[in-house]
Amino acid sequence: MNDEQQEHVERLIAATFPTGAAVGAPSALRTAVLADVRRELRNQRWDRRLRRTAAALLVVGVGFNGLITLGFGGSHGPAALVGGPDRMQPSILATATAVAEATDAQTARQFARQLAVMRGRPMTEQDAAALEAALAEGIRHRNAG
Amino acid sequence: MELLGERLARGEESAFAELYDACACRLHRYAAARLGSADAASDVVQSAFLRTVKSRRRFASVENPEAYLFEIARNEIARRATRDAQQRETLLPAEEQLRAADDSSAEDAEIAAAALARLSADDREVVELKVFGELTFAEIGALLGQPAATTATRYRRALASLRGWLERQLR
Repeated sequence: MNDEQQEHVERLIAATFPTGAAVGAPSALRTAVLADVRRELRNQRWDRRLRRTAAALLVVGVGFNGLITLGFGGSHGPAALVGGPDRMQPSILATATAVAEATDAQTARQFARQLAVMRGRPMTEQDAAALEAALAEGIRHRNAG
Repeated sequence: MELLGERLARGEESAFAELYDACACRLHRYAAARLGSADAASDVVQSAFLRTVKSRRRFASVENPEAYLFEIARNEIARRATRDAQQRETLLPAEEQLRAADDSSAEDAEIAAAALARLSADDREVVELKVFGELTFAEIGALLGQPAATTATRYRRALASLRGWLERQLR
């Protein structure tokens, strides 16, 4: 079979295309498909954000529970949470460092600030400096492997 | 320049638009030829693209995104065909859904459709992918899991068989 004969058969086959159907995708289909694509990509971005937020909340929750456990132990009672020691408790610093490892430094700072407020003693400049030093120490440990 | 596959894997919206513009028409023609309906073909194209977005990370390791999209569409067509066969008591082959017009070209089309139906399912699929999907033999071979040379031979043999039968019918 030569090329001409092959082309003839191909034309006949092409003619079997469903009667009345557009030769190719209708233009409305492009709009619908790309809208679907846009929606799905957006849903995937939301899913990622939700997963990250859930992970951060989990870490904060675990950290907070750890803090409560440490704060309520031994001679430290609930009163210790109100008008506590002059400097930020080491337990808060340790927990904030753990939060920073799991998420990032910014989240850890927010976490520490909120806990301090809940203790009835907002962070002082000295507390903030201690926190930054603890976070920097944590970063150095991580980078050292 | 970054490859299209990498951009698709990253979820770049414009990359999906590029992919659509590159092959949606051929994909739609192929699906319509297989399913006998433009509406069903549109559904297939839409479903195929949605699946590609959901599995977009695979594009990072795909050499030919268009051929990969055809593979997804092919699987979707097979699913629809199976579902339709289960739902209908009598399944008419796609070519029998063609309506005869009064002109002779439509009559030739019906005869050609009947000739296509005489091919084996595998040979017919190669012919449809080549004629309607406009894929290369290498792409068809990759899709069907066979060498390009085998695909080319199968195609030429199928056409030769069709030609012989058509000549007898159209005399």
